Amino acid sequence: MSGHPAIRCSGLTKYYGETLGINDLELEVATGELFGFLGPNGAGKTTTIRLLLDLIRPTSGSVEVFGLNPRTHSVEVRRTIGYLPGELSLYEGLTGHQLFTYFASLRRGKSLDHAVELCERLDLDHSRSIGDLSKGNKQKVGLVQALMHRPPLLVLDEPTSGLDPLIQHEFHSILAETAAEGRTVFLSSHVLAEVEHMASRVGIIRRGTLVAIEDVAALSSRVTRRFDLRFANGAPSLVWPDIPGVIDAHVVDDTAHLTVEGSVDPLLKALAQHEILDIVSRESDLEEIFLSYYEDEDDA
Amino acid sequence: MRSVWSKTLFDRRRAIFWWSLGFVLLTTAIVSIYPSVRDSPELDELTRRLPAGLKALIGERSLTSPVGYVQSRLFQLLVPLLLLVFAIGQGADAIAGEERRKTLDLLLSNPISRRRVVHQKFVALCLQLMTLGVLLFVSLLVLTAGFDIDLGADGLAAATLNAVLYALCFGAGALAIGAATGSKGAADGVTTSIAAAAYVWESLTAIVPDLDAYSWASPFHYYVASDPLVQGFDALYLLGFTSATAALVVVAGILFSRRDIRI
Repeated sequence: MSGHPAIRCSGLTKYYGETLGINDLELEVATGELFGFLGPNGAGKTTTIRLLLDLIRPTSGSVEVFGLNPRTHSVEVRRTIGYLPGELSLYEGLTGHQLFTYFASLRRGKSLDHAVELCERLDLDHSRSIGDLSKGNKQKVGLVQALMHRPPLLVLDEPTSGLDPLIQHEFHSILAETAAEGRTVFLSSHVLAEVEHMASRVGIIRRGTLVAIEDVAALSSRVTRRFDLRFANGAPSLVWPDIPGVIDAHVVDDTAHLTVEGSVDPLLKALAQHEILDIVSRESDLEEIFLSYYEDEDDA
Repeated sequence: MRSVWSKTLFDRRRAIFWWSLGFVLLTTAIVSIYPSVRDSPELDELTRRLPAGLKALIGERSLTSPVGYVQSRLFQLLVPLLLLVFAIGQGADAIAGEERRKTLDLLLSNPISRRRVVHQKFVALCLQLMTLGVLLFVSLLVLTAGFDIDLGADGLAAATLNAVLYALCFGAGALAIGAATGSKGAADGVTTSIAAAAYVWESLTAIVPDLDAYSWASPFHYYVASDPLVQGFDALYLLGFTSATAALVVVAGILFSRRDIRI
């Protein structure tokens, strides 16, 4: 396994009949990396992931997992992967424990003990029938079965959908531990914040095309945030655009509506003297970031 | 629950129980009526006057003889029909059903080859049909002894095995279509239509003399031709069904390995 990147896609293209799945995808994820795969729904994230798992076959181009072609070394490749599908469907007639036993046997591993540990960490009752579980608890079952055999490569498609924030936090620390053990995580999401907090690098995909691969730091600098600041003694008479990062500002009564790009530190420093009653912060949505990348492409 | 086949049996445990119960009750009901049929010679008189075509449909033999009764009431239609319904339903569900329920993605993310999944699903189907077959055979054995009906165990075993293998062949066909297309409807519909057409064609060729030369075209012909209830085991026919089934399972594995899994 050493020497090869965890994932390498080269010219990877998938059409479903006439419909484009992904087009000419070039991507390399190093072993031990926590890679975020970001894009709106229907952008081609799931297509890419299912190609890695040999669930579907490329129209052209190639894909490798630890140097192996999933098509010709299907079983070997899948032995290295823990997978959480984006649209999770489980065996509703089984209990969590029965499902973990079943999958542990298919992997011929002694991963059941670890499954029980993970259930405790994620607060999942694995003795209950999966059909009776809530959406969030089903998602936990999906996470546990992906993690339980300590795979060298974790492929997670929208992993935190349906999880409450406390469990999300625990899940994030599990992922951080996974990465610390030198294992690779490929995390797909349409939520910027999730990928931003977890991943070191991010690939951005839109309409089947990889728009950019960026370090998270570079991506964050593109993120614009909007702040509504309400002041106790009326909005201060500052020259807002002089504050580094503030790219747009207008003041209504005692509230300043600001758009900030990159770090918010200069803004906070500038406001330290003023009494603020309330802050509402909104991250710009993913679509705006995509557009910013698209504009770059158009410029080029 | 250690493998795909044992997990499939686990999923099917309730269905297997109810089907088994149904089979035993049905056999009991039909066999226990026999003594009153045996004692009504007018029934024989009636069937003797039936046109040849109808006779062909219900079987040639006297309805009041043990062999004629069991053949016409059970093995001519009812037993193969029920086993076919069971086998085709299971065969169609094996891959295509799991694909429609969207659990196939997760199953195939495990290190198990698609061929192996097909083969293990087939093993599960075999074991289920064999369970029903054994129950049918044992009930017939016990009932015929209890009602003092003179039928050899050899013939009963041969007729039961014949029906099980016939149904298994169609089950494998449904499995193959489901594995190749991912469509449970297609697997169910096409296989059921072929099974129905096979029965109709065999009945027609028995009635219409001009068609008799084409009876070979119906799979059902090979089901009735060896007359196992009377003649006992016929290696050639059993081998024929088994080979056809094996071929279908191999094809299922190959075609399933080649295609995209539906999302």
